[in-house]
Amino acid sequence: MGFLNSDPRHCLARITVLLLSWLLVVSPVTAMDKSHRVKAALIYQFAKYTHWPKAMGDTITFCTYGGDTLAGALHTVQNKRVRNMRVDVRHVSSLPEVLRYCQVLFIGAQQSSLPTLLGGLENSAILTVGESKNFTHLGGMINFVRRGLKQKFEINQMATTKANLNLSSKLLQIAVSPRS
Amino acid sequence: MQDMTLNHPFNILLLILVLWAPACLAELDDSELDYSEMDLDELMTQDVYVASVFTAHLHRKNEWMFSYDVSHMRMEDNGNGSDNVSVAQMLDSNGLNYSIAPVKMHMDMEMFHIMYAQSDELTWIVMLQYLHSEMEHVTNSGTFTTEARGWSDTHLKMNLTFYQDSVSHIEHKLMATLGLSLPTGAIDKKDVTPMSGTTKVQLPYPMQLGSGTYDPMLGLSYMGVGDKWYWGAQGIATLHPFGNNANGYRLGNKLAFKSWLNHGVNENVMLFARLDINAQGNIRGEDKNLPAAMKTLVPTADSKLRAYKEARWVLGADYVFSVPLLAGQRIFTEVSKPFYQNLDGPQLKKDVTYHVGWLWVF
Repeated sequence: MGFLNSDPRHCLARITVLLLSWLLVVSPVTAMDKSHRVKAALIYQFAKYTHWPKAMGDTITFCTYGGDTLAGALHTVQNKRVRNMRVDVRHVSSLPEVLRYCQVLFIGAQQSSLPTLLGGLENSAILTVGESKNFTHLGGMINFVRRGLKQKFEINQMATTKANLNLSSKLLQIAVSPRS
Repeated sequence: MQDMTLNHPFNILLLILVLWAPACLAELDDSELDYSEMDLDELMTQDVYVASVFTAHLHRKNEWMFSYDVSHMRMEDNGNGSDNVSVAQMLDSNGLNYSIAPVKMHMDMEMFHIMYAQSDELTWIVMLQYLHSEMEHVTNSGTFTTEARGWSDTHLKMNLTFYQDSVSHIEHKLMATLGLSLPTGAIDKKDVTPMSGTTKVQLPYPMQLGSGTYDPMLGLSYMGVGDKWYWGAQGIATLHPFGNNANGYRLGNKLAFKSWLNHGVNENVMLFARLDINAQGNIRGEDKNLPAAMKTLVPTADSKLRAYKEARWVLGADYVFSVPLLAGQRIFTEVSKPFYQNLDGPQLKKDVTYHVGWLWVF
């Protein structure tokens, strides 16, 4: 190839320069993927369409668990309002922390501790949101799924009922059926 | 010092990266949509994922795409119709009686695409191409090679989605492509041949880099997008209706049809298979800078021996980076080889083509 066939040293030098320039340009960039931003906005909407069994004061806490990539995007809803409550976003890394602080919990994909975590949250009034293939089967409440180019979600109504969380009929209508 | 000039597309790529990209990103950072202000219904209508199909570009509103890719095409041996024509047949005085037989050609192409989605339905595309071609010839007394390099024609296109529907979570889209090829490629490339001595002479048609004419492009694409499978088909015609170029000829009209099936193995890896069918007509008119007798010496100088039809399979893979540092970036590769060719020959038969590239959507 013209580009690749030239003197190998020049070719290597060119590739090195290109990579360095590329890193120089890209490294300061913290561009958030649109899917992350839409997921964060959907989590905000889920909270709006959910009623908790007990009054929660003037703050509702959205938590992200583990090393997920949604944490940055979720900060875009920091200080927004869900009814009369201010949204606070927090990162947590253990079950006690979840139980102590969170009303909404997002658990990213590839969390090996997912079964343990969801098992520990059974019947707790914490709206769990995930993006793992077996999330609802393990007791999670709302799971993000991709349908074509759109971001959709499934709802595990049994789990929300057990936790005394009341999801609006609008949310239930929009949710897609889980695929076998 | 040649490497420090803008004569080579690589240097232009660097310039764009260093100067232009950060400015664009800074601008975009301010203009990012606040999805948390959208209601649930609006969010559900958002196209969140990019369909990873390079053939039919689907981009979301305000998205930019920049890609740089290189391809290497090889042509080898001659054919006429679907039959092979040997060098001996071409040079034999009782055969075709040419003095020169082309036997091999390499074409390296570096392509830059810049795209901007004015809306979810309308994407503007600029494509620049830099070519380097080498053709090897055999004569009764030896061999020689000619070479040409430089910018080829520039394509300006728009993709317009005019129909879309979603049935059972499968998206169906129909797109029209309208474009214009600008004659930025040279039609006066010259090189030395054994007969010209040290004087550079006009090279035959396949070694010229452009068409020399303003050429409209019209196309239609269908695309289906499921969860993990994408499929589609596209037909694009490049026409040459506006008369001859400055050298007195115009290329034959070209039709390119593609149909593809892509499979997303996981969030990062996509494999694809494609069928490409291409056809081009003969050149109308003749290059006034080629001596009239030249077409009796070498078939590449004969404007009536340029038409072809070919069908080729294409296999490729696409890797999307998911780490935040490389958000929106992907690399891709494809290899293709014809399985059918019908040539108005004798002319060189197309062979395998390799293609690698890097793409950045932001």
